[in-house]
Formats: sequence, C-alpha cells, structure tokens
Amino acid sequence: MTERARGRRMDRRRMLDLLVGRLAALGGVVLILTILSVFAVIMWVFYPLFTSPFTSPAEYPWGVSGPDGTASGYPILPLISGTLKGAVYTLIFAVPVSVLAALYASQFLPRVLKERLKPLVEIMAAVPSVVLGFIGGVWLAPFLASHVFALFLAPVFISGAVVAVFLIRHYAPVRFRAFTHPGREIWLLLVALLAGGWLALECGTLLEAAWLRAGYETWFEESLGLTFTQRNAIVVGMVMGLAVTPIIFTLSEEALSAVPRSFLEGSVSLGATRWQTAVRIVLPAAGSGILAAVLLGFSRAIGETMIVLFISGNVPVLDWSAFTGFRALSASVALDLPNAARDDTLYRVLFFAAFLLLVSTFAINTVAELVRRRLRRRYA
Amino acid sequence: MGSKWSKDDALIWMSGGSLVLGFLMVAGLILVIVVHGLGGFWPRELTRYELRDGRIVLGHEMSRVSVRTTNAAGGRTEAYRLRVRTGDRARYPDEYIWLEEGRVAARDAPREAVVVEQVRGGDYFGFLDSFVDDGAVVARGYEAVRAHYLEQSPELERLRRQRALSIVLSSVDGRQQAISLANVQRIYAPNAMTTWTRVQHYLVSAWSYLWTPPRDDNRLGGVYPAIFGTAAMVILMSIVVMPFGVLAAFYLREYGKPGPFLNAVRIAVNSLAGVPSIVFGVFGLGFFVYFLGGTLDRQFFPADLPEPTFGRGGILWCALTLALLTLPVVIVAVEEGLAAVPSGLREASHALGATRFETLWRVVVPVVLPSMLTGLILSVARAAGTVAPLMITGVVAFSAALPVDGAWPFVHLEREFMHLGYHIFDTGFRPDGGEASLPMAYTSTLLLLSIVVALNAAAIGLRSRLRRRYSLAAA
Amino acid sequence: MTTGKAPIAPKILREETIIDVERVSFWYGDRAALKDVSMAIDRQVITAFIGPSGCGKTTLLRLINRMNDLVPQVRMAGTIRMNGEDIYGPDTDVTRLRRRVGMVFQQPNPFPKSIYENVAYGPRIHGVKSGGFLDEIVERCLRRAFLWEEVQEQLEESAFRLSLGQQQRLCIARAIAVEPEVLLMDEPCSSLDPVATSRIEELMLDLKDEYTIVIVTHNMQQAARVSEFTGFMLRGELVEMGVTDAMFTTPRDRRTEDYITGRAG
Repeated sequence: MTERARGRRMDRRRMLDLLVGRLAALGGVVLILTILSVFAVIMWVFYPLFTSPFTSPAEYPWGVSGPDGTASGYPILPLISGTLKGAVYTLIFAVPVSVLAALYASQFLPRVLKERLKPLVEIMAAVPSVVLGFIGGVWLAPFLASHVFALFLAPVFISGAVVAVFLIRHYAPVRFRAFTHPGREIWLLLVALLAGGWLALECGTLLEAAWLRAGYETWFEESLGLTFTQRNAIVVGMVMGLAVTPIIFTLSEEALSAVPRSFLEGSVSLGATRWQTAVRIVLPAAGSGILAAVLLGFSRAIGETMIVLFISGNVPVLDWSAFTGFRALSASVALDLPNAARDDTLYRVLFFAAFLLLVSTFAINTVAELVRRRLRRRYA
Repeated sequence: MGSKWSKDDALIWMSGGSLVLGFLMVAGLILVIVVHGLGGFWPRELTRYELRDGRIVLGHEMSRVSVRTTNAAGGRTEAYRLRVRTGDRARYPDEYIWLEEGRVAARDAPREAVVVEQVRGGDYFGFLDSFVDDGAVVARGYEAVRAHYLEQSPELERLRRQRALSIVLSSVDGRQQAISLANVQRIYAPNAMTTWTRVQHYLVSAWSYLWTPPRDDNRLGGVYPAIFGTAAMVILMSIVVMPFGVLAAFYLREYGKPGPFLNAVRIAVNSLAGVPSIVFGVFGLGFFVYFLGGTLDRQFFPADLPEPTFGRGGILWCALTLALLTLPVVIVAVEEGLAAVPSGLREASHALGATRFETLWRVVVPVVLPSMLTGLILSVARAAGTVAPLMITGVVAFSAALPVDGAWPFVHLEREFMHLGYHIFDTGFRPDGGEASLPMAYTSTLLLLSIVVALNAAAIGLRSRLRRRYSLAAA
Repeated sequence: MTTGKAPIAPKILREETIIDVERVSFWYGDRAALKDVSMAIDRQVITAFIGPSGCGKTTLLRLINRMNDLVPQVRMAGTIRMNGEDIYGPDTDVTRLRRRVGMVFQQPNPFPKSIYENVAYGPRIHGVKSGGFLDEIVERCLRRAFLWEEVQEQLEESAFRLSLGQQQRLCIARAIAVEPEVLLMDEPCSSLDPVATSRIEELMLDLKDEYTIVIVTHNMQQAARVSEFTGFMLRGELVEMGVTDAMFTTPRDRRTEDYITGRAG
C-alpha cells in the first residue's frame, strides 16, 4: 500500500468516525428536542384557554358538577379529585402488600427462591392494563358487588388463617412439620390464604342470608346510608393496586436489599430478632428508597387509563366514598378527545388535562429517580 | 422461652403472606381469563325449556344466579334465574332473556337442534325444516336437509352464485325462517356431537378465530384484521424506534460528554418512561395528526381538502406515538448492554489504533446486539399491550380495509386500523353490558395476554443468558 | 515438635471457664472452615485468636454468639457451652444468647440513626421504655466507652458524622448497653489508624474487669499487648493455645513459631 492510499484510507476512516459521532449527537439532540416538544406542543394547544376573553378558565373549564351529577361546563375539578381518589385507593391496597412482600423477599426469602421470583414479578408488571381493566370491570366488579360481606371478612379471615397455619406448624412435632426448609413456608402460606379466602366467602354467604333482604344496594342505603355502585373505588383500588404492586415491590426490594448487611449483623448481635431488625433497622434505612417506589406507584396510578376506564364507572363526582365510582382525567381524555373538534374549547381543555397529568407524573418520577440515585450512592 | 412461639415469627409469616397474596390475586385473574377465553369455542348444549305458561324457549344456558326476595311478612325466599341466549332475534331482539327457574316445567336437549352461524345477523338456533333450490323444496326433515347440505358443501361457493339456495329453519315454537345459503357460514347440531366432533369443532373454531374477520358487530367471527393491524403497527413502530433509540443510547453512553447535562438527560428519559401513555396519545394527536398530518395534506393532497388524508388518525401516527412511548424502553435496554461491555475491550481496540466508530462497530455492537434485541422485544410487548393513546390517534373498532393490501401503494399509512387491545375494549366495554360480545372479549384478552407474556418471557430469558455470559467472562 | 492431630494444649476446664468449645467442626457448603477445635475461654480476661486470614478464627468467634445462623447452607458439628449450657441446644433462645454475648465488628457499623439512638437501640428492643432510664444507660455506656466527653453535646446527630475510631467506640458502647457477659471483637482495629487503635486497646484493658473479651486479630503485637491467653489457628485447626507471654516467647509448635517469627503466613 502506498503512503497516499493509506492516507486516503485513513481519511475515510476518520470521516466515517466523525459522521457516526455526529449521527449519535444528532440522536441525542433529537431525543432532547422530543422531550421538550412533548411539553411544548401540549402547552401550545391549551394556552389560548388562559388568554381568550370568552372562555376564561375561571368560568368554563373549572365548572363543577352539581350534586346530582349534572355538569356545568367541563368538570375538571371533579376529574382531578377523581384521579386522586383512584390513586389513593390504589395505594391503600398496593403499599401494604407490596412493601411487606418486599420486606419478606429481601430479608427472609432464600436467595434461590428470590431469583426465581423476579422474572415472575417482571411478567406481572408487563400484563397490559387493558387486560387487567377488562377482567376487573367484567368479572371482578360484579363478583365483589355480590360478595361485599366476604370482602370485608377476607382480611380478618386470611390473617387468622396465616396465624393458624403458623401455630399449627409451630406446635406440630418436628417430624410432622411439612416444608421445614427455609422459604418453603410459602406453600403453607398459599394453603392458608386459600383457606382464609374460602372461609370468608362461606361466612359472607351466611351473613347475607341473615342480614340481606334485597341486594347490597338496598342494604347500604338502609343500614349505612351510603350509595353503592358496582363499579366503585374499591375494585379500582384492587385492580390498579395489582398493576402498581410489581413496581413498588421491585423498587422497594431493591432498596431493602441495598441496605448493608453490617447493619443487620449489628442489630442481630445485640439480641434483636430478625423481625425487629427488619422493621427497626432495615426498613428505616431503606425508607427513602421505599418512598421513591411509592411515588412511582402513585404516578403510575394517576396516569393509568384503561383500568380506570373499565372499572371506575366514569361518572364525575366529588365524593371520596369507597363504594362509589369516579371519573379520572385520563379516562376523560380517552373518552372525550375522539369527539372533540380540533381547536374547540373542549379540545383545549382536554389538552390541559393531559398537561396536568404530564407535569405531575414527570415531576414525581424525577423526584423518585433523584432519591433512588442518592440512595444508591450512599450505600454503594 | 424455648418452644414458645414468638410474635415476631408470626409477623414474618404475615409479611410472607402478603407476597403470596399478590401472586395469588394475579394468578386468580389470569385463571379466570384462561378458563373463559379457552371455553369460548366449545360447542354449548342447546336446551329446550318448556315453561308453565306454555311458552317454549330454545337456547344456551349462560349462567344461573340466585335471587333473594323478601315478602310482605318478612319471610325470605331464594329463587334461581337462568340467563339464556336464544339465538332468535326475530322474537327476542336482545337475544338474551331471563327465565325464572321455578317456572320451567320441563327441559331437554333435542338432538336435531342446530346452530346456524350466519355471515350477517348473528347465530340462529332452531331446527332444519327444508332445503330450497331455486324455489323448489328438494329435501325435508333434519336428516335429509343435513345430508343435502353436506353433499353440496364442497362446491357450495360455486352453487351459491349460480342458484338461489336457501335453508328453511323452524324455530322452537314453530315459526319458519328461510336463510339464504350465501349467508350461512356453518351449521352444526351441538347436542348430537360426540366428544371427538366437539374437539374438532373447537379446533376449527379456534383456527377461524385467528384467520377470519369479525362478524355481527365484533360479537362473533375472528380477529384477523386486529392481529394484522397490531402486527403492522408494531413493525412500523419498531422501524422508527430502533434506530432512534440505539443512536440515543450510543449518545448517552458512548459519544456524549459525561457530566451534569448528560445526567439530566438520562433522568429526563427515565421520567419520560413513567409518563402516562394517554399523554403521548394527546401529544400524538396535536403534533403528528393535526400538525404533521395537516401539513402533509396541504403539501401533497390539497385536492382532497377539506377531507383529510393524513390529517386524521391513522396507523402511521399510532406507530409514531407508540415509538415515542417505547423509546425509553429501548434506550434503557441498550444502555444496560453498553454498560456491561468490559471497558478493557474498548481500550484494547483503541490501543490497536481503531477509531471510535470502528471500536463501536467491530467490538461493542456485536456484544450489545442481544441487548438491542431485548430492547426491541420489550418495546414490542409494551406497544402491543398499550391501548389508551391509540384511541385518540387512529384505532377503530371495525375496519374492513387492512393497512397493507394489494391495492396501490400497497402500504396505506394513513388508514385507520384494528388493534387487538382496542378490540378488547370495544367488545368488553359496551353500554348495554355487552354480554353478547363478552365471549369474544375473553378470547381476545387471552390472546393478547399470551402474546405479551410470551414476548416478555423471551426478553427475560435472553437477558439472563446475556448476564450469565458476562458474569462468566468477568470471572 | 508436634504435628498433625497430636494434642496441643490440653484443654483444662476450670472454675474460671465461661465458654467451652468442644470438638467443633464447621463447613460452608462443602468447604471445611473449622476442624475439630476444642478450647476453654476464661472469665474476665482477654483471649485473642491469631492466625493468617482464612484460618477460621472469625468463624469460630461468630459461632460463639451464633451469628453464623444467618448464613445459608452451613453445617456444624460439636458443642459449645456457655456457663455449662449448650448454646446450640434445642431450648436455647438465640436472642437471649446474643444479648449475653455482644459483638464488635471489623468495620464500625453504627446504625443510620443518631448517636443516642444507636446506644439506646439494644435496651429498647429488650423492653426498656422509660426515657429517663434510657438517658442513664446511654450516658453510662458512652462514658464506659470513653466517648461521652467527645459526643455529649451532639447526641442527636447522626452517628455517621463521627470519625471511624469514634464510631468503633460507639459500637462498643452500643454492645455493652445490653449488659453482656462476653464481648466478641472481630478485628476491631483493622480499619483504624494507630492513635484510634491505641484508644480501643486502652478501652479493652479497662473493660476486662467486667467483661470476658474474645478478640480476633491478625496483629500479633496487639494480641501480645492486650491478651492474657492466645490461640493460634491455621487452616481451620487450633494449633496451640496458652498464656500469651509463654506462647510468644516459647511456642510449643513449629508452625506457631514460624508464624510468630514471620517465616510463614
């Protein structure tokens, strides 16, 4: 190869290198522009709402539904309240279950089992929300609406069954103890949960026979003075709870597992039990990580659309009762935007609703990510 | 103390219980989907109910519910009601009726009762009366009509066009109705079936579910256009998101100058991943559909205005919207792959005089290729299961035209399309409660769930193999 | 010269014996960490275990308060008695055992809590609720650990703000707050500078009037400075055990001599 040919080849290589570098930089720039444009486009559309003299945001978009549910204007306030209601009921179901489960998985579950658990949780997280929403709205909501007493009894009975199985196993002679291997108790727990659930169903039926004269709607009306609808916040909370549980579980478990073992050993060496150590040392040490996990779950619940669409009933109300439905911002956008004419006020209001979702979730996610990063640095 | 049980151990069990509870609930819901979804094709028995008031009803018993009533004296009675699908819209427009079980005098399952699947008009339940060929009755009675029908069916397509063939059916209470053979999809007598023919029937139904278009307002038939539309949209999306996502990941990990700015971008990407899908849909409507689509229309299709071509929802805009939605998925997966490449590999290549691109192309990319594949699979799974943003950027409940077909220019990016997830929403969420479309919705839910779970399992398997390889390489 | 399995120092159980290790072997999975170790540890003196890293001295120490229970897939044979009671017996309450046998770790590991809460943690989990009583315990233990003067003004601040040496003394204060009989110290000075090390050694000598101290160290000078008895371990075996001075001047075993004089290990 002559010097010149080699030089030319060198030039071509350098050119190519430069080109690809530029291309990657372009990718980066487009990425940043994309993120910014999501904000910009949505703001661009709803901005006239706040300048137009005819549809001042003080009158039209903030219209509140009347006591009978009739809306004057587009009821964005009940929608915000509904969105928060759904998210709060979701967290009521998801946080105890997922944080306790994460505590168990990180502190008491043998490593081998934990490794097998992780892909399952990941797949749970991937279940499309339209699937959960469908099954929640079509099957779970009617089922729960006809087993309300059983629903109330279930937490008590299931806890009782777990304690009962624990005691039976504890007092059973050693050679009769099934699943003595650490971590295998989850099979016993499975039995306990199924038994507890079944008992709750049976006792619920007995209570129904004793107390219920007509349907549950009447019972709620007469005995408690409450409105009861089949598609209510409890069902939304349960189903959306299942949707966010994998998120909260995974991130909490990550935070809990990152707590240095030396803390655990320090506590145990002082005579603390494993549970005391887990609750008094490990849980507080991972506190900010768990908070971040809960925030992410909250943000997911705020923006979740299909589940809410299927199960919430989509009636804009301002009450926070567990037995009534609600209408959320996300579901309203999905239901009303296809019918909104371009640049119409409704169109702009719905963009404003989307903007509220965008800003709140983006902010929450950023905070959660910053918290997570700080935690990771601290224990790295 | 000794063997006295401790409260703390019981609490550990309770925390374990919550772990099992989470799994149990998801498993329970999935079980419900699987049972309902798989049961949809099984031929149900046709029952004839004779009521005390003399009425006769033929149909499938769909469910049996208990009804509790209180009489004036305060005494309680419990009765059962049957939900029966009648397959007789002439008489029962809703097709579904309630029967008080107490008022059923007798019931049986007549062997000659048939289900006629019609191309238009849903299923008809009744009895075969006669076979009419160009106005002349050529066969009469169950066996004769059935024999005649079976005899003709191999060349039915041709005969249908040549002559006016029809089957006269009689309902359970004696009303007669003629159905043109052109409108007949399939006839079967569920009560006369053996287990083997039921299995055959099941398999044929499942197959035609996958490969035929929907009938009767999505309540019956198949979901072929929805599967096709979902696949076409996802492929389109992958074409957009893969190069862009990979370039962005390379920028973040290889070319960008590490520092607070890059960190901020990374956090922003992460936060973007958590933004609700519906927001992307709104952005897609405002930017892609109205702004980009409107501009395209003004530039290239001014003749058709004001009727929009690209300025309304379509598969391209859906694909772009979902590309945006799944961008963080790809970036994160590729970045993880890039981070796992041992830096020694890169340094070795640089030390041999390779440029940055050559190092990237020859050394890094081959190693990261499986990560890209993981990212692709995960983003496809995410896109296949996302419905909300599509609802406002161009998905429809029914569309006869596919986004890709034989007509010029073959790929119709502006067309609205059917999507499996939206099909579930359409069939599962109807103002009338939609029981007629529920079996379809369950089946589609099972199909979508299987696709998404299979894709995710593939991605997880791929990734774990990848990680094992690196951990071995590191050891 | 003795080699192999020949009895080294005959184990003599005396009135002073508090911990009696009898023919203990221990495995991590298939790997043996301890092989047939027997020894007696006396009350209110300092006993040191020395030996090259990986010789099993830390494993032995962690067996005395059953910290190895936390490690999965391990196996043990033999018995360990404390005050004559088998600590691996079926009726042993592990938490009560650990309360009586405190531990100080190689890396100072204060909890991510305030200085006060670190010391108060142990009494709290064992049921002390009264604030005044807790204050007393905290002050007494911090004084005992020579830390009170330095931290009395900042009790509510995070323990992480202390220097490493202070953190280690805080861990000692935390350990004695539950009033143990025995203090196990696992290379307590390995991450400290010489000044902090000498403070800890001073503290140990001061504490031995009240507590039985067992210390694992790789630093032979430290063993010589603080301990009355020393055991030398090698590859999971106890090679030799005896009065520290005697062992450092006239080791009975060739391997001990090699290690002490720096020819091996």
